Amino acid sequence: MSNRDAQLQLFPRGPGAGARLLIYVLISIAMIVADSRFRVLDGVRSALSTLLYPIQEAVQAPLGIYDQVSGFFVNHADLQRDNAMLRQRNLDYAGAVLRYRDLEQENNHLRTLLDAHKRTALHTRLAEIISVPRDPYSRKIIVDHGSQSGVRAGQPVMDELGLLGQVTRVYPYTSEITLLTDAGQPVPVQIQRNGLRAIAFGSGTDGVIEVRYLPQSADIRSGDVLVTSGIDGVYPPGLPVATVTRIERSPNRPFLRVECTPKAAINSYRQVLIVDGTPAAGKAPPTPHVAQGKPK
Amino acid sequence: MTFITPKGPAMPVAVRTPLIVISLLAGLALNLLPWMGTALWWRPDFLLVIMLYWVVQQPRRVGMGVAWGLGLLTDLANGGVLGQHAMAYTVAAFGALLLQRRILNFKLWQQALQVLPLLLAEQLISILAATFAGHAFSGAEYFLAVPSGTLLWLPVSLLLQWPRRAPRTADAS
Repeated sequence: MSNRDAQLQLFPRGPGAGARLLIYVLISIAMIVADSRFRVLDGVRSALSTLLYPIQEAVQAPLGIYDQVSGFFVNHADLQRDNAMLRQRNLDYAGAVLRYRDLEQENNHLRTLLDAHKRTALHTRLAEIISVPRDPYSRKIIVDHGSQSGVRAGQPVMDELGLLGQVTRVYPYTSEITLLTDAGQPVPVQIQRNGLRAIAFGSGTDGVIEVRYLPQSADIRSGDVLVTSGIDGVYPPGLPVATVTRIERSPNRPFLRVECTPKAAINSYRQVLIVDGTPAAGKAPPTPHVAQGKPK
Repeated sequence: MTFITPKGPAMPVAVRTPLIVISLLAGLALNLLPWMGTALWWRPDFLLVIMLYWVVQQPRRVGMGVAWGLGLLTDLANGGVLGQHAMAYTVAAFGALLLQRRILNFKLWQQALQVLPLLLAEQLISILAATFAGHAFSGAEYFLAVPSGTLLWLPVSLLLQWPRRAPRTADAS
């Protein structure tokens, strides 16, 4: 009864609505400044995000049940066809792997002869996307592996088609991946055809990344494949990144305008691969975002 | 203070707290679902609409403080700037408190039209904060969540009224 009386107070005490609004807005502004300019709230963020983890897991549950139920009702014929196709593909891959091993050995041998560093094999771990932020601005995804399972900020993330992005924040049970398409996310690349090095930047729109600061005379064509160059020590060399789709040569600008489509199926899969054991993972902080705005 | 308590049957204002908490958690969970592609632009802010509904219905229990907390949770979930949605949600809740006295006299779709400016204000403020923190504005598609959120007001009100309807008719009979 006393509880309800408290609600039915005739003259509610405390600051008025306008004053409370002002207080909350001022606290928010202080937080925005502290977070974006001074980066002092990272500890708070990681502690509080553990609170969200049960909800994120709970959201996954119905999806899991749906997968199981729909898996139960798979047509027998479909299964058989899938199985035959997978077996065929497995055979193809087995052949390719045999040749790849041979080539890898030969390559390592040649590199020793040249006294160059050997390329290390990639170790990856599978992680599942558990949420995509509602904010369509930030091209980020949250996956279900965190510092408890050894993920560190700065690790590259790929899928089976190509580079997807980079781990930017690590929480105890989850981690945040910034996609290549996030505005201002840089990746050092080179053109597979001729080895020309460049830097690709995310443009903030789906399915488009840009190569900036290439001179008008650069040898780049539509259809060229960009792979990671590996000179930053963050991304391992040779991962496919994007295909050049459009080149605009205009004498008004000092640089070429090159648009590319990412190789990785950024919007289609629920699983990603986090690359372990790159030489600099752990040492290198996540690549800082550069000031946005297009080059003039 | 007992003399203030009305003598008649309990007013239908009494909403069980679990309903509020569960609906808000459901809104947060819907926001967290991994949506992809163009649906991402149309995706309404479930949590915001459900929260505004409760601010209008139960201004004493769900006010600016709750709005601020939920906004902070949204910021954490988005991995964006901390405080961005907290500020936007608080301002939207303040707007809802201003509307609260009259909005319930209107029909549902008229209510939805009054909620539209609140959703728009929320989007504008969160964009302003994001721009201040150094994100670039990517296009007008961002505001597609406003019409979809407005439409969401109808199912949300109908759905959240439904569990409260049964005891009320029982009281009347």
